[in-house]
Amino acid sequence: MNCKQIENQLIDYLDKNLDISTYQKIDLHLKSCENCTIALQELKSVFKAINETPEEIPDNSLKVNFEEMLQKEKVALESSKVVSLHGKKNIWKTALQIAATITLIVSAYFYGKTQQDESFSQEIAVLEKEKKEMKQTMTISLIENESASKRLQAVNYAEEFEQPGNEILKALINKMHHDDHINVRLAAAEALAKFSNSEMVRNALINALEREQDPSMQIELIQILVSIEEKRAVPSMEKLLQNEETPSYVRDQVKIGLPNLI
Amino acid sequence: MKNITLILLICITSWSLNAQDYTQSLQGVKKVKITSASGVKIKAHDKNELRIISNGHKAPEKARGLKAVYAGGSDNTGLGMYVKKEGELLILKNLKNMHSKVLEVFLPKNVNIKVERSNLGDLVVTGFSSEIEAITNVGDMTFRDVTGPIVAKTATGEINIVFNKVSQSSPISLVSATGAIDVSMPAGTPTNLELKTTMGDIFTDFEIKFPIEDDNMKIVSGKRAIKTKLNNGGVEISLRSSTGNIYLRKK
Repeated sequence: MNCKQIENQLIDYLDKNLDISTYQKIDLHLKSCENCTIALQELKSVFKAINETPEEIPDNSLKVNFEEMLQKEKVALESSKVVSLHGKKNIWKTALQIAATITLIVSAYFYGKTQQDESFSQEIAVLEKEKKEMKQTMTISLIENESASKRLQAVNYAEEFEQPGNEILKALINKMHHDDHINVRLAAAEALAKFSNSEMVRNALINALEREQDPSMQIELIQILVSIEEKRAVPSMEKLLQNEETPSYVRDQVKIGLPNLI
Repeated sequence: MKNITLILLICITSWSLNAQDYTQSLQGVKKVKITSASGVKIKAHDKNELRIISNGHKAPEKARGLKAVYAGGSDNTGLGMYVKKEGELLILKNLKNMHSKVLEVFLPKNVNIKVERSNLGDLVVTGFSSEIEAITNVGDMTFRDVTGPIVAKTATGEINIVFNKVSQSSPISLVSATGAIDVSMPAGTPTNLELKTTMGDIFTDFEIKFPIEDDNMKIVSGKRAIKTKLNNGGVEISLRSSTGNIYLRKK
C-alpha cells in the first residue's frame, strides 16, 4: 500500500470501519511513514474540533421578538382595509364596469362586423370579376356553337360588355367577316359599332365594307361607318357607287350617307 | 283530332306511295341539314325517321339498265337524293336541278333543321318545335305552326311566319334584303323586339313604346330601328329588311 491509498483510508481507520488485515497494514505503515502520521494527526484534530463545537441555541430575546411580531401581524390582519364588493359606495363603480364591458362587447361586435363587411365586399368584387371572366369565356365558346341562334345569343352577350377584352372583339370581328349565316354577321357588325372607340374595330369595319358582297351587310356597314363618322371609308363607298353591280338600294344608302362624311 | 287526321293522312300517303318513298331512321340524330336547288316542303310527323316522298320519281324508259349520275354527289336513295349520317348530323342533298319537282320531306317535330338553298323555289316548313335555320336566295319562306328559334335569311324573297308559341331559349332573327317580313305571334309573347327597315315601313298591332327622343341627337343617317320590350321583355326577336316592309301581327 502506498501513501496515497493509506491517506484515502485514514478516515475509516479513525472510525475503525476497516477489516483487521487492512487495519494492521495501515498501523504498520503509520509507524514507518512520517507523512502519513502527520496526516492522521491533522485528521484527528479536525474531528476533534467538529466534535467540540458547541450547538448554537437561539437566545430568549429572539424568541420574544418573534412572538411580538406574530401578535402585531395578527392585529394588523384583523383591522385590515379589505374592500368589500358589497359596499354601498361601489354601486356606481360596478355600473360603470358593466357599462364598460357592454361597450367593449358592442364595439368588438361592430369592429368585427365592419371587418367582415370589408372582406365581404372584397369577396363580392372578386366574384364580380370572376363572373365577368366567366361570361367572357362562355361568350367566346358559345360564339363558335354550331347553332346559328346560339351564336346570335353569344353576340348579344358580347354587346352587353362595357369594355370587352381583345379576345371578345377579335371573336366578334371574326364573326362579322366569316360566319356562314348573314344574320350572325349583321348582329356582330351591329355589336362592333358599339365598340368603335377601338382602332382595331374601326379598321375591321372599313375592311369589311371593302370586301363585302351581300347587300344587307353592305347597308349595315355603310350605316355604321357613317354613324361613327369614319372618313377613311369614303373611297370604298365611292367604289360601291361606281360599281354597276351594286344594287340600287345600296347605292341609295351610300348617297344618303356620303354627304355626312365629306 | 288534328293529330289523328294527320296520322291518317300520313298513313294514306304512305300507303299510296309506300313502294317508292325513302325512309331512314333518325336514331341519335339531332340535326338534319338539307340542301336543295328546287323548292322544299318540310312537315313534322310522329315517327323518329326521315321520309322523302318520291312524288312519282321515275327514270325514263330509255334509262332502263342505266344509272343516273349527278354533279353534286352519288344518288343513294333512288330518288335523286344523297343521304348521309355523320354522328348527330344527317345530311340530305337534293341532287336534282332547280327546275325539278318540290322536295317533300317528313321529319320528327323536335329535330333541328338547317336548309340551304341557292336558287329558285320556295321553302315551306310546318309544325316544328325545334331550331330552324334557313337561307334562300330568291324563293319565299313560309313557316307555320312553329316555336323557334328561327334564323332565316333571304335575299329577295318574303319571309312569312306564324308562331303558335315563341320559344324563349335563344334569339330569333329574320333578314330579308328586299322582301317583306310578315310575323304573327301570340299577343302575350314576352320579347325584346328589334325592328329595322332601311327603306320600308313597319306595321304592327302590338303596342310599341318608343324610347324618349333625345332632341340634341344628330341624325347622321337614314338608320331606322325600333328597339322595344313587349310583355316586360324576353327572348330577342330581330326583324330586318333593307327595302321591304315589316308586318308584325297579334295572332
